[in-house]
Amino acid sequence: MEGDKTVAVSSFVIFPDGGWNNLPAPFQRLFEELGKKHLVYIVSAEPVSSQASVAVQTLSLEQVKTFDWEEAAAVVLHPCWIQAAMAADPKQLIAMPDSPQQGEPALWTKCRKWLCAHADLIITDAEPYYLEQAFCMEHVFLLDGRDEVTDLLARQAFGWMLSGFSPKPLVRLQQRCLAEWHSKQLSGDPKRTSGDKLSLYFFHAVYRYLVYDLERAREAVLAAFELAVLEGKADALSTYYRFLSAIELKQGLTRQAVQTYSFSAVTEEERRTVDFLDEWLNDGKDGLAGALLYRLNDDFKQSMERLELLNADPMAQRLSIECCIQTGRLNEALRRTANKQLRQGDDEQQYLLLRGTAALLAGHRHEAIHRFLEAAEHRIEALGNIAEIAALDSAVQELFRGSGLESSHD
Amino acid sequence: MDDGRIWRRKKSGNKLTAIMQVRNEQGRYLEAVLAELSRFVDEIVIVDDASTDGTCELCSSFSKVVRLVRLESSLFRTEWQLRKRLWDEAVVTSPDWILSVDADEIYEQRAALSIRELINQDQYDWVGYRIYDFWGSLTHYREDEWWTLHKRHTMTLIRYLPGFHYYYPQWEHHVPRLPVTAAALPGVCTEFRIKHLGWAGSEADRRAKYERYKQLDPFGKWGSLAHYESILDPKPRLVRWHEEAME
Repeated sequence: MEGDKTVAVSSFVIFPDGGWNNLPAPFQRLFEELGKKHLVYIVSAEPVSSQASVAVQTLSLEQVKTFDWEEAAAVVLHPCWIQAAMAADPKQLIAMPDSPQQGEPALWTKCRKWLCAHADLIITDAEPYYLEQAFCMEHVFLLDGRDEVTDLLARQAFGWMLSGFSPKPLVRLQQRCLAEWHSKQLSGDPKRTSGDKLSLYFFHAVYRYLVYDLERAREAVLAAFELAVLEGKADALSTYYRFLSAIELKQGLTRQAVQTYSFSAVTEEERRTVDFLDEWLNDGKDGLAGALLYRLNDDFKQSMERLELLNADPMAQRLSIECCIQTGRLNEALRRTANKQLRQGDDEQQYLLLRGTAALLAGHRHEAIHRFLEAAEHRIEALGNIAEIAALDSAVQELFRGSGLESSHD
Repeated sequence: MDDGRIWRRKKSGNKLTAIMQVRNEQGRYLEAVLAELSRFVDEIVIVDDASTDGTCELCSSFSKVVRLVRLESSLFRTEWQLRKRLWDEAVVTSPDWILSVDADEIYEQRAALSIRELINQDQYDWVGYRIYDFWGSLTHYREDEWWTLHKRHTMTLIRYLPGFHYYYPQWEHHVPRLPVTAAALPGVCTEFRIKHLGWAGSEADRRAKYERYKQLDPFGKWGSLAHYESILDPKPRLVRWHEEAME
């Protein structure tokens, strides 16, 4: 986890979201297909109905702890399983969580972020979440039943992973397929509403950006921006136009990209950021400006890649730590903050919280509680993290009983 | 970006350029409009859409007209191209702010006097005004179901951001006077007023405009047919215009 790991496994254990019957159809098909070559387990209090075409054995929560994970992958469908799954230290961690729901508890959102950040493979059935993750992590796939080839590549990625092969080559292939799918949609039905067109243009731009087809990305994002303005969208500038700066950055046009971002900078904070970027460009720190600009476009992956090249720069180190925290890479953030000199003021509390969370995910509850208590000496709000441990425990019990969690819980 | 820095908004010394497309405006309001504009803008850029009268000569007689392009054939049937041509011609003169003015529009005095204050700041990039459609005279404007332009703000003044994506929708008629994408930038709406005199003339003038709209857009593809028909309303609701109180 947090790195390329290509070890074959002979079985996989599903940590479900509401039992076997509640699995999304494409996921169920995938598990049945792979169940022909691998042993399949599910963590559930209820036996799996005979409707499953392969033998699926159930595991209790206790059995999860004693299970031989040396040759097994954990397949996690609900973010609240994270602690149970990670503490088991499986050979592979495969995240297939539902996309974030409006009004869901903040704990779920955090857990989903940690889960995806530590997963060897992420498969999702929601396109916006897929794109969000594609900007953070390496092995991300969409499996939403939109067309045969796209789905096949996602299923293949899962299979390759279990067989010990990195699915990396399939990532770009699927992104190309998705870019083409959007091209076809846009040149197809002329009766399509402009609202549909807006998201098609924008997603098309994002896929073209991901596969480095940058001129087409530029065309598509400008078309999306024009439509957004004509539709009176309040975020025309901050969502659609701003993404042009990421495209220009990938084209190597750093100064132009900063200029484009500056046009989209409306709030005081955004305008102060432009001052920084301009100053860095003037000081010849184009790499740093580019790294921050990628992050401002939510492309943490590109941002981190740039920052890796500038690791000697203290500001780059700081930005790297922030990127790690924002994307949920706790262990990486901890490694980078281990140097006490890099921590100032509130950083110390954040460091303790990070250590606590990392300990919790590794199954070291006592250490986690100890760190959270230490953090609470700096700010009392840190005690909330201890309450979250209990919330997570009860969520796991509910998930185990096979009842899906209500997203309105808090 | 000449000093190695990115382009930034200027808080002072902004050049204000008026842009205008004209066609056969001789004997109407153009001379008065240019005279008024010359008092408060720095430069004027005009595209003459193949006038056949003395419009072009009239324009060139004003010293602030720094660029005057005369089209050989009219682009009025593809209005977006005409708008875009005017925009492109203005951009080559390196404006800081662009004021789009029709040949029959007059900015009231306080609007003209406050314009420097409005442009010499770095917070917003466009300004909205209220445009009043004068009807049959210079004393009344029209206000009824179809004639409510003054009830909302119209963006007529925008900052020129070099490198920004300016876009006109490719419509044949009723194309916005300035690139629509400018409206995505932060702007400010003022209560300053603009007198639109295009309907202030005789009934025959209005009928001629009506005939022209119906000819250009017989099926109401670019505008509302009911709006066109309302031009001929024999009893429009008119409201007396009150001149501003100057301090």
